[in-house]
Amino acid sequence: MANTKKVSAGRKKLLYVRKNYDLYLLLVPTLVFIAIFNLVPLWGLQIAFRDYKLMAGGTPWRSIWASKWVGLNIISKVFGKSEFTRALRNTLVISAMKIVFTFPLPIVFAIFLNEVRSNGFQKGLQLIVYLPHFLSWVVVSGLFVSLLNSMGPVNKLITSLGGAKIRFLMDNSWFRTILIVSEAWKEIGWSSIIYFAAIAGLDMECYEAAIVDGASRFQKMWYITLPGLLPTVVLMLIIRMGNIMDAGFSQIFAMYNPTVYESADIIGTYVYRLGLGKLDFSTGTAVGVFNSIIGLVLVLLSNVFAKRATGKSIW
Amino acid sequence: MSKRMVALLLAALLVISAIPALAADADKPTLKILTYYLAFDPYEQPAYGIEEEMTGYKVEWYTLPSDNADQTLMLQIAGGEQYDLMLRLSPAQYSELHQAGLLLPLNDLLDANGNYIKEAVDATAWPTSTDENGVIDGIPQEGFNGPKEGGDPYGVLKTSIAMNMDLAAEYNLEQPTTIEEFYNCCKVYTEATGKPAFTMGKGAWETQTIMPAFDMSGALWYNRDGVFTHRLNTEGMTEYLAFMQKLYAEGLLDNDMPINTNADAKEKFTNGTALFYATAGFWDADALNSAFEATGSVPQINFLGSLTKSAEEQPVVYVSYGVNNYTAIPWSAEHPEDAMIWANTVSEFDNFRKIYIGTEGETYSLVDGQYWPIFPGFSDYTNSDKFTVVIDSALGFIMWQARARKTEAIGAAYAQLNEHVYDYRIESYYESYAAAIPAIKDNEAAINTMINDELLIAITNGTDPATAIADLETKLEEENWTEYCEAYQAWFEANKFMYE
Amino acid sequence: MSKTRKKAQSYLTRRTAFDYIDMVVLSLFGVMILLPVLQVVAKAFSGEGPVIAGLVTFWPIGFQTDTIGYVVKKGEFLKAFQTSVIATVAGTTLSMFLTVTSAYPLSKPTLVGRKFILYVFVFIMLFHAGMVPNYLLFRSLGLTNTIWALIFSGAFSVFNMFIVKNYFEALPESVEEAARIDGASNIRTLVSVILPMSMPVVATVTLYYAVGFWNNYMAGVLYITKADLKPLQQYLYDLVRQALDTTDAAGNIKDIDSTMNLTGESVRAATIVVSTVPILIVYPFLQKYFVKGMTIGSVKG
Repeated sequence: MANTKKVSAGRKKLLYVRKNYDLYLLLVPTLVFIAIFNLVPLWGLQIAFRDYKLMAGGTPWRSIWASKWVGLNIISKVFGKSEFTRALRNTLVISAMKIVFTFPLPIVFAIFLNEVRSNGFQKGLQLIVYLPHFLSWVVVSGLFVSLLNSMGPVNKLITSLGGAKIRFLMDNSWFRTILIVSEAWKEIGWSSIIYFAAIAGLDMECYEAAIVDGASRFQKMWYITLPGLLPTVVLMLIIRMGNIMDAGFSQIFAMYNPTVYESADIIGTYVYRLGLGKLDFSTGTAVGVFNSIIGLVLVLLSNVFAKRATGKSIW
Repeated sequence: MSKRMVALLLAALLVISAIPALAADADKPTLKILTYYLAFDPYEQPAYGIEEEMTGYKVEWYTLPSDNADQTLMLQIAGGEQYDLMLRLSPAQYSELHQAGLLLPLNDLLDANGNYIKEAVDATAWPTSTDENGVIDGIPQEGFNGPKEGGDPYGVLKTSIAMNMDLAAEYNLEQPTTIEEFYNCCKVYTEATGKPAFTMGKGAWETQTIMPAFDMSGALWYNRDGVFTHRLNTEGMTEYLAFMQKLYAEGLLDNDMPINTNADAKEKFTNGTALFYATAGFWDADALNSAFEATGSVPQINFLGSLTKSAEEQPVVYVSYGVNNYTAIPWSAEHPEDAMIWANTVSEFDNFRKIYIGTEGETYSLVDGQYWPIFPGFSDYTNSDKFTVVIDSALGFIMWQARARKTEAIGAAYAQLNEHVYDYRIESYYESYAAAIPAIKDNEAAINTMINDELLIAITNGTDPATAIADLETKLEEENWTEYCEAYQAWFEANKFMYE
Repeated sequence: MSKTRKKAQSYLTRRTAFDYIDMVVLSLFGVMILLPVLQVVAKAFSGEGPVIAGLVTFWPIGFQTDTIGYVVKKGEFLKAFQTSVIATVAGTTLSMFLTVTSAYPLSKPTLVGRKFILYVFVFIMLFHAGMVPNYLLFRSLGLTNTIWALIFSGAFSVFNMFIVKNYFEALPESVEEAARIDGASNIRTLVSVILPMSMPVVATVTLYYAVGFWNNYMAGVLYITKADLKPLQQYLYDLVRQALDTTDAAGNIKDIDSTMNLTGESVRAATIVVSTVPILIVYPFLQKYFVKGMTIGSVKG
């Protein structure tokens, strides 16, 4: 062929940029946006390592630099609280349980709903199942309380069948289950949208070829639909790992009560209660940094793992 | 026309066009006022228009969020966000701002334009916003929960336990006045029906009816023979906890209590499950009536008086005195003098009354020293209490009762509650005055939450009260319990005279 | 129509036992999801009395539309509603622009600097600076108490960008190559070729952004104190929360005047319903992109 000249890697890169300058042009608006709105504020992340006093430097902005540097003191104080270990344990256990039990459900739902031949049925059901997503946890909590309290329909059913009343929301052995069930109820529909979109984008020709080859329903699901969904599933799972330290603050805050602190008090709710009435920006930021670091490590690890196991990763 | 005529005409035109410019000097600036969370649109309230007319100033209203209000406030003011006036600052918020030096000293402004304000603010309140050098930077408003020393206590009773008298009659139960009778009522009812007799919203405290029987109430600190004692350490606390545990364990107290919202408790009361409901306020009368109507018939509802240990004891009500909120001007205000004039105008007694309850004969009537609302005009004033600045607390207490009598049923409930108030012993407490002290302001919320949570758990699982309290105090140590208590003790030393 | 296609079509329209079981199970599931939601709707159309007494289950008692009427005429609701609509429309437009323009270059494995840029994105996805720096930034940009604060905060989600990028990466290369051979620039390819093929993901992410903006509560808390500029969710959230507990941790009634004038439960339910309906209306328009029809793919051989 024509060009066998050895070109240096650096030169190659420059050529690429020149040839595809319009790609970089496309990137500019977003890069500028995140530089202003995401990167600049990150300079304030150091509040996590300082004893931040709003007026230490005359204005809150200057006070960031002017506040005393205390390094890991802030987060150590949080670690040292008597119930922190319990909070950490609860955070990880509840998050893990949620991933294991509620992550697969939207996928299964999407696949099976997709199998229904009637477009009308699909559209109608989709419209219904995503409704709970729009209710705030405060409202959903109220719904579950009226459902599960000692005089509610569920307990009425249990006692009529001869069982003893179960205190779902006040029993440490039940509460986590309720958290998972209520989260599933609220979010399955909404979370399945992305999988529907992914299925909709799959190439029909594969399916047609499979039919001609005499593939059964389940074979099609297993060999075409599932692999087609794999990149999406991997992406969603990796990002979910990044959020592992948020075991569902809004949900737990709305639904918990002191009798279930033992099993459901997570880091977020614990730090919230201790910080009441205090103007403590440092602790909140420190806990945030702690959560983010763990999330970052997990994202990197799961990305590597996903690449090895499935060949797909997010970069 | 001759040249002279033209010149005269031009001159006249010039003069005429200058007149509006001269008058424009009298233009009043628009004031930016920041206040706490409002559940309604301030621009739609009649009070808004009334104030504009009264003061001549246009106001732009700004409100803090209901969540994270303190942080938002501090960030905004420290960052120089421009407001001319800040209303309804909690003592904690005022204290933060004061310590950060973000408030404008008000002495000169008050001397120049604050005569009505100076009249309205109680003498006992000024020291809380004056520093050692006599610099005042906040205008305190005392709470009007009750009358001044020796005044008429009518109206101090506002909440209690509501009792379904029709339901009680079915089981031959009478309105209890002692703790013993209350327990028996519950016992008989629950044994006969299998349903919990007493339902309550979540929380460890029933402060108006049950706790007074154990010498406690909503107050956190009590003067026991000159020793300032926290609720946790009073003799009554272990007894109170034991009593609540007994109610809970025997199913007399709704076992769902830890997850009940106030609405859930109301539900169980109005659908005929429970005999007693806490915490019922006189304002619930309409809601309870309409709910009972929906389920069938409206029963007679009585509010229990504070329970006592024995029949001979006098029932007691605890009334809190202290500074309720502050008004202040931030350092970044553009129009401090105008803000002060606005606040002053609004605090003049007749002006206050006009904003608060309207016009005599039209929206309210004054009968035997008591204020009664006139409908339909009075419903316009539902939210007008958020538009005021300061008022003398004794006068405010009396006027507030007009607002308390919102409807006939509510007025009747309020009257029923206060029917026997003259038989009560009034215990006043003053701990609110200490709310701005740093060690207290920083820790009280977290400490109170922890106490409430731990004792709620103790009530439900029946651990020995004394042990529960001891364990609790160990946990509280982590949350600056010692500093908190020491700060209160120091405050008490300096302010003992209030409790005498 | 080719014989294969005919056979495929008829095969596809045949219903088996699996289909029926599938539909039944899914319907049951749908009912389970729907019933509790119905309770909120029922409360919005019921009289206050039955609601307080807890009599309303799935159907209104004492049916009346007055409560809904009352809610939509309230000044504070209308202003909050308007604010949210503007913020959502403007915000979603801006967001889609930023997301699509950044996802496309990043979907090209040969892009120089790709890994570095992706690391930066992941970093900002996970690390948030908190209240103070964000507030101070918006303040110094003069955006506090303006609608722009509600538009810019939440205008770019790395997560959504990854979704779009993922989708672009899965598109067959042959289409882009064809465009390249025809001499189209990158931007041209994106607009004329890639985007039309990406409607499912564009619809999904548009929906995600729209709902994100509509539901955004924190932006109002941080940046807006103007009484008539609060977004709808903040108005709604505060309304629902204030009714929860009337006593504080010490057992005392919080601000008695506010407690006396609490909005009724049916009013709250009505406000929830009215605040949710607008965004529900958006969904059906986008839904056609999610439901796989009998359409044949656009790629030939």
